[in-house]
Parts: sequence; structure tokens; C-alpha cells
Amino acid sequence: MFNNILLTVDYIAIVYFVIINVTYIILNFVAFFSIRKNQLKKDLLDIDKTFSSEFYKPLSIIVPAYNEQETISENIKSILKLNYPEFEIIVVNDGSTDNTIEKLKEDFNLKTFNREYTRDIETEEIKNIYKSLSYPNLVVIDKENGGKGDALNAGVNVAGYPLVCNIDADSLIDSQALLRIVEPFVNDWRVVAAGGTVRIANSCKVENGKVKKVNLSKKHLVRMQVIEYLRAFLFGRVGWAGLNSLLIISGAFGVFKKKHLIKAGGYNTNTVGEDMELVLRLNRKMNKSGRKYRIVFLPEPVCWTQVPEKLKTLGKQRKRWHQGLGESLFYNFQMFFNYNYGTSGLVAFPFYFFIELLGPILEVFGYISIILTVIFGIGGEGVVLLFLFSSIMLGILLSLTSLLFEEMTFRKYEKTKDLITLSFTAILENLGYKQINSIWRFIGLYKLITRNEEWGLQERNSFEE
Amino acid sequence: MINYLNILIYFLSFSAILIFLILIVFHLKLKYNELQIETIQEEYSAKISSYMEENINLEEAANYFTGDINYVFLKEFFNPYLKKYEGKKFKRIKTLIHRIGLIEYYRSKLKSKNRKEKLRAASFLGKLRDSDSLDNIAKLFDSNKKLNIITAAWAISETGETRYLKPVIKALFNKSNMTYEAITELLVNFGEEMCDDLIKYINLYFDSKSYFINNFKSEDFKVLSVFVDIFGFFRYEKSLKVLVKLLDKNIDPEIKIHIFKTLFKIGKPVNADLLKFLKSDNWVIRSQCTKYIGKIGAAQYSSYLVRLLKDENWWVGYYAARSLWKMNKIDIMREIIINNKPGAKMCEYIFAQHNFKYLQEGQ
Repeated sequence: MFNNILLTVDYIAIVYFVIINVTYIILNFVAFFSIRKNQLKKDLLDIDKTFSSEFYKPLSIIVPAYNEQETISENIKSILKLNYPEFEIIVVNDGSTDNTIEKLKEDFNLKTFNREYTRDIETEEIKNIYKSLSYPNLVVIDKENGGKGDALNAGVNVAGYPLVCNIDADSLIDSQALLRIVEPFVNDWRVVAAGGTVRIANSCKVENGKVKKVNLSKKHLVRMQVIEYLRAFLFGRVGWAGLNSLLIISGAFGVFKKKHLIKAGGYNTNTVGEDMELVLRLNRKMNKSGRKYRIVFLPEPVCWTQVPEKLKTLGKQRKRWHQGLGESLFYNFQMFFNYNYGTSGLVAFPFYFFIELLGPILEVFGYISIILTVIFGIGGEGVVLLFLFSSIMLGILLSLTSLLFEEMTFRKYEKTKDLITLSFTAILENLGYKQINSIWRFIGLYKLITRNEEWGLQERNSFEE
Repeated sequence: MINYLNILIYFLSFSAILIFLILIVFHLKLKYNELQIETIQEEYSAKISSYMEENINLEEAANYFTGDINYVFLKEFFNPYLKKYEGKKFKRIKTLIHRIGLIEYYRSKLKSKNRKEKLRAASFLGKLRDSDSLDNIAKLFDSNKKLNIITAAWAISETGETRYLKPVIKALFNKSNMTYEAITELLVNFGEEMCDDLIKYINLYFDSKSYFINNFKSEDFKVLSVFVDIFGFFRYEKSLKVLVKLLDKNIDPEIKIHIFKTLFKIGKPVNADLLKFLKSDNWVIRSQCTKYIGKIGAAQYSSYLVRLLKDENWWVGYYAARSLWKMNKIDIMREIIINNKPGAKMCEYIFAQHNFKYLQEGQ
């Protein structure tokens, strides 16, 4: 009996590994062709011309900040230098307990300003709105603490332009990124939201708030995340978008039509995954309204962020992300296998639910079960091990494919040495890192069920250090 | 079972090694190509400079480039020059491109069955303003693929041939998902000369309400909004008459907003009673009309602007105060503040914006 249970769990876990890897390989291929199509479009249509006259859509950039005194000024200065014809930056100080607001007042010559705004979305109280005398397009909101979602909502209320862009205070944006991410809003009236790619900035050479040279970090943990970001956050998301089923736009860099964001009710303040939850809700509301809509993901507008370099911090981040994923899915569960939402409801949502959310249960129990099968020698362990080895090989194949596609499209890592290192990382990542990740996600799932919320603050360094 | 699994593992391992090798070979090949291109580009750029400065003649320059039959590379190489040059310089570089045989090559590609080649050819010939290719480029409008439509429309607009204006507008409204802004952006490529055609179309619309539906297969408000924006872009004073006539018609409020924005850009007074627009139910019309009145300094509306200072919409109040400031009605504004009348805060705000101290010493 025990043997049978063990073997059944083994096989289920292995089938799960195969499904997840095959799905991602398919998504990678969809993404590859989607990127090639995008590049053809880029060759044919001159983006500079799209924004050369006065018909562009002005943009409000919302930057939520909580205890960011070390990096906030440097990052705002880099955002102020972005290439876009007309934009305002709305920094929202979400009740920081450090000197963020004082630092902003000092560095940007802020003065109180009686700017009119509508309370379209309920938020915590706004204490003051400041305008910079040195930078006319910089507005700072000082409000009571309410969390990231609440800060973003306050920014949306104050935003004066039809498009709003959320950027994390600790991220760097490529100079052309805003033009590229807004382009779909101009060329396709159906577009209501667009997400950009997030890449890893650790060890990159940063000058004046711009990534000047892409370097590969010497730290193994960061390299593992580089492969992970390529596979899941770049090609995975482009692939889902190619199937018109994108369910997430990263909180680090996304643009929304303000009107629809407000109609959807703004960011949910009761979840740690407010970025995914918003996109799911937007899908629901747009679908209900009957208006044709598209949510797109662009691989080229790039936002650079620092990823954790310590296992403990990374673990906290992953547990939080998993909790956020679960909350987002549960808040919008009516999409589950709902044919009204097309592939989003029938394929993407169930994939996120069974494979991404519940997957860690199978992964963790699967690994335990395989180890027990081998230890107790219950028979059939040879087959089980070979199966496990095949699924690991499939994972390696997937990571290498992502790397090849990266080289065939964006080529951010120019050095041959870096590519070879990344190839070996693609192998190593499957032998330890993925398993640890499964455990973190499993704990995240447990915390979701027990409603044990933990807010992880990541240690950040100044980009130029 | 074990045998099958072994085969599978061999297959996956072989695939992984193969992908790794492809990755490295591909990477090294690209690096090598980049180095080559860098060197060639430097040499070519020097030659172009000599040719543009008339240090070498057409034959010499053409002979130099004719040796390179990599037309795709040449197209990429010449693209920035086509963007950069205008007038005589543009003609000079175009003559060279023609002499090299690049235009003929891409004209033939325009007839190719390969869609990508066809689109790239259309885009390049558009940048070259090659009028002889227009009929073939326009054939792309027969397709239902949006990228074909947009590429063809951009290419044709860049040639500035207004005889294609109508089919381009029709295709953009019916076969693309472009926003008004994008359509306007594209159409302005045709140049100011197209404005007379647009006035002609609007006059035909005045004669027959179904003109836009019949000829552009699109609703009036969409077409009119774009046309009005184009007049604004070119600050086209000759359009004032049709704009005023449109304001008198019972048209979509959205078009009226576009008209006031255009009137603001042109910045000339019109022979129309604007009071009814200041009284409009639509706050955007009120605000835009107020802004326009400030721009042209129409002082006859100042007493109504004072009433609008206390408008329920902040922007209307703001533009009313700004217009009063522009019309130099400082005394009125000061009096409102001193007596704390409705609108005092807005007047104070405008004074602060201009760093104007409205209180005299002792007050």
C-alpha cells in the first residue's frame, strides 16, 4: 500500500515536471516568433516619428516610495532624464518612517501646491502635495502609510494625464523604454495595459541613472535569477501575451489607460500581489463591459532592477510572490475555466492555478517521495530515477533554449565568456536552485492558507556603487 | 520502459548539447559580422561625406558602392541619411541610391511573394519618396493584415502624393486599429498641401451628410476630429471658415473640443459668438473655449470669465483666471481677492504662478 502511494506520487510529480517544462518550451517558441514579428514592426515603423509631433499621449509616471532615502533622489533624477515628449512624475511617499520626504524636499526644492484631484479611488489620507520648483514636471504626494497598492492609487487620483505608468522607486528605465511601451497605445485603440520586461541590474555598469554596460554578476544566486528571469519573466510572458492571455504585468514597470484602471477600481490594497490582481480584474471588467481590449507585453522596453543577492532575502521575496499569486487568483476565481475569457480563462488561469500555484505541493512531495522510493528500495526506483533525470534534462533544455532565443533577439550579454557561464548556470539551476525555490513557494502557499502575511524589505544598494 | 527512458535521456542530452553549440557558434558569427560591418560602415560613411560635399562625383561614388551587392545592408546603411537630409541633399543621396540600383532592386521586391520582403521594400521606397512605386504600394491596401495597411499608409504619406490621400484615410479608418492620434500623426506626413483637400471634403460633407460614410466608410465624428487636428498641426488659417461653420452645426461635442484646441493653436479671432460655448454643459468645451478666449484676448467675454472663476470644474476656473491674467484684467482679479469673492483662490493661484504681488504696501 505504502509502496503504491509512493510510486503514484512519484509519477504524478514527474508528469507535473514534464507538463511545466513542455508548456514553457511551447511558450518560448510562441515568444520567439512574437518577438521576431515585433522586430519586423520596429523595422517598418519609425518610432521617433510616432512621437515627433504633438499627437503623442502624455503620461503620468507614478513612483511609490517607502523608506527609500538612500536611492530615491538618484532614481528620480534618472526618470526625469527619460526620453518622452510630455510626462509628469508623481512620487508617492507612503508614510515612510525614514527621511525620504525630507530628502526629496531638499534635493528637488519642493513647495506645497494646491493641486486639484478627484478621489476616484479611496486611499489613505493625503497629507500634502508638493511641486518642485526646479523640475516643473515633478509632483510629490506625502500620505499616510497604506501599502504599495494604496500609494499607487493615490498617484492615479492625482495623475493628470490619460496614461499612467507605475515604476518602482528602485528600478532604472532604459531611455527609449517609455516611447516603446506607449507605442501600442497609439497604434492600437484596443490596448488598455502594457507591460515591459524587467531585467537584472546587479553588477551592470550604471552612469547617470542609465545602464551603460550589461555585466553578468559573479554571484551564483544572481546568475540563477538571470536564467529564471529570461525563461519565465521574458519569454514566458511574451508567450502568454502572444496567445492573448497575459495575466500579469510586473509592478516594477507597466502602463495603463487611467480611465480603465479607475473603472476597474484601482489597485487592490488587501494583497501583496497587487500587480497581478489588477491585471486579472482588468480582464474581468473589460470582458464584462463588452469593449474590445488587449493587454500587451513588450519585450524591449526594459526596466532594470536589483535582485536579492542573499538566499534569505530571495526566500522572503519568493514566499511573498507566491502568496500574492494565490491571493490574485482567488480574488478573480470566476475566470477559472470560464470560456467567456477565451484562452485566458481556459488555459492561462488554470495553468497559473494548477501548475504555478499548486505546483510546489507536487514538487516538494514529489522530491520527498522519490528520495523515499530510492532509500527504501521499494522497486521501480530505476524507472523513477530515469524519469526524474529526464524531467531535469527537459528543464535544462528549456533554460538553454531561452538563452539561445535571447541571443537571437536582444543580445544583452555581449561577452562570449558570459554566455558560456550562463549556459552552465542553466544546467546548475536545475540541480538545487529550482528545488529550494519549490520549498519557498510551498511555504508561501502555506502562509496564504494560514493568512500569515510577511512583508519583506529588500536591502538595496545605490546603483552606481 | 527503461530502454525508452534511456533513449529519451540520450535525445534530451543531445538536444541540450546541440543548443549549446548553436548558441556559441551563432554568438561568434554575429560578433564577427559586427566587426566586419563596423569597418565597412566607416569606409562607406567617409565616401558618402565626400560625395555629399561634392569632392567626388556621382559615377565615382556609385562605382564604389556597386561592388557591394548586399542590398539589405545597403538599405540599412542609407536609411539614416534619408531621415537626415532634406531638399537638395535628399535629392543628391537619392540619385546615388538610384544609380547604385537599390531602387530598382526594391521595386522588384515590392512585387515579391514574400510578405516581409514586400513590406520592407514598401517602407524603404516610401522613405525614398519614390512616386513610381505608389501604385504597387497601394496594392497592399487590398490585404486585411493590419501591418500591411499601416506600412503602406506610412510609405505613401512619406511621398507626400495627395492623390492617394483618400484611399489612405479610408484604409486607416477601416482596416487598422490606429487611434485618432496615430492616424493624424501619419497623415501630417502628406504636408500642408493636403489641407485644401480636407477643406474640400468638409465642404462636400456640408452638402451631403452621408459624404464621409459613402467615401471613407467611417463615421463623421472620427473623420472630422482627425481633419480638425491636422488644421491645428499646420496652424492652417484658411481652415477658420469651415471650423466656424462646423461649430454652428449640431455635431458631436468631441469635435467641438478638437475645434477649440485647433483654434487655440491657430490663435486668430473668429467671427462667431462664443458665449454659448462658455455656457456649454460639457466642461471640456467650456475650458477649451475659455483657454482660446485668453489666447486671442477677446475682452468682450471678460465679465463671463469672472463668473466662470467659480465653475464647478477646477480646470474651467483655472483657464478663466489664466485668460483674465492674459487679458491684463489684474484689477478685477485683485478686487476679487481682496473682497474674498468666489474665485479668489484661483486668482491668488495664478498670481502666485507668475510671482505677482497683488497687495500694495500697507494693504
